[in-house]
Amino acid sequence: VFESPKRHRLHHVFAMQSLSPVDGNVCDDETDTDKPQSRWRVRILFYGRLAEAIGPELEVNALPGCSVAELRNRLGAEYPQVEDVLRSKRARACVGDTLVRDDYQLATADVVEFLPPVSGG
Amino acid sequence: MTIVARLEEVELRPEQELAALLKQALGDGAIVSFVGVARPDSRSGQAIDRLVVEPHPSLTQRSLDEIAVAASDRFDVSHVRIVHRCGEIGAGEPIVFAGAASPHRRAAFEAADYLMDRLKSEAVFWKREVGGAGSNWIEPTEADYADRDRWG
Repeated sequence: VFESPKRHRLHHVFAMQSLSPVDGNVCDDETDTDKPQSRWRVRILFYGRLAEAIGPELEVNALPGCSVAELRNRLGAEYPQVEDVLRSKRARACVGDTLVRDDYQLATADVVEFLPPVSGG
Repeated sequence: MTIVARLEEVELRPEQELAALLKQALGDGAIVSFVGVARPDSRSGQAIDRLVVEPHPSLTQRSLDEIAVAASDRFDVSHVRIVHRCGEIGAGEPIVFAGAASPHRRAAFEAADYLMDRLKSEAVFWKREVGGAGSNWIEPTEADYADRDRWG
């Protein structure tokens, strides 16, 4: 779905890091030859200033146990211009149109949405 | 009791919304309405041509519904009406209409105040102002969050 240059850059950055489920880093693009059946692609949607900086959507690999907090950290490291937004409590995460906490662990069918601070009126 | 919470993509006509509220509120003693207008300048004084207001495909309507219903539950009002624009809104054009009708004025004033305080920091929109100096995202201020928090 996502084949822009930024997608490849994300892959590169994640692959460069020493990620493993053992130390809790389980949202990654690293090739996991030990558990190929357990990895899946998680689709992430962005809005507002996050969509402007990252694009409207992105896919990354995830392993069981990947949390919203880890997605925030990974994306913040890759997109420092919106790291403050991603780490802000006011930027909410949704799965299936329901707000989820940072310790929410992703399931294989989940689509995660990151909503920067909202404002009407 | 009627509750209207509508997203308008093209045009908001406050006079039509007020007329509709007046028509619904026969028998009530008070109608309070608020119209929010896109400002021609930014907080820093830069000239603004337009606002771009982006909605979420499902959460925006849900947020408008939830805020309108909450106002009707909380105050002694007969009718609540929210109409909110999305898309491109030129400076000087209305962006939101919030109105309430009630038997007596106090509840209508409070309901309209409540609607706007919640809309400012909880309605699911992302706004940016566009002008000669470029594009700038607008987010609630701490005062906006404090205004919302005073309702508990």
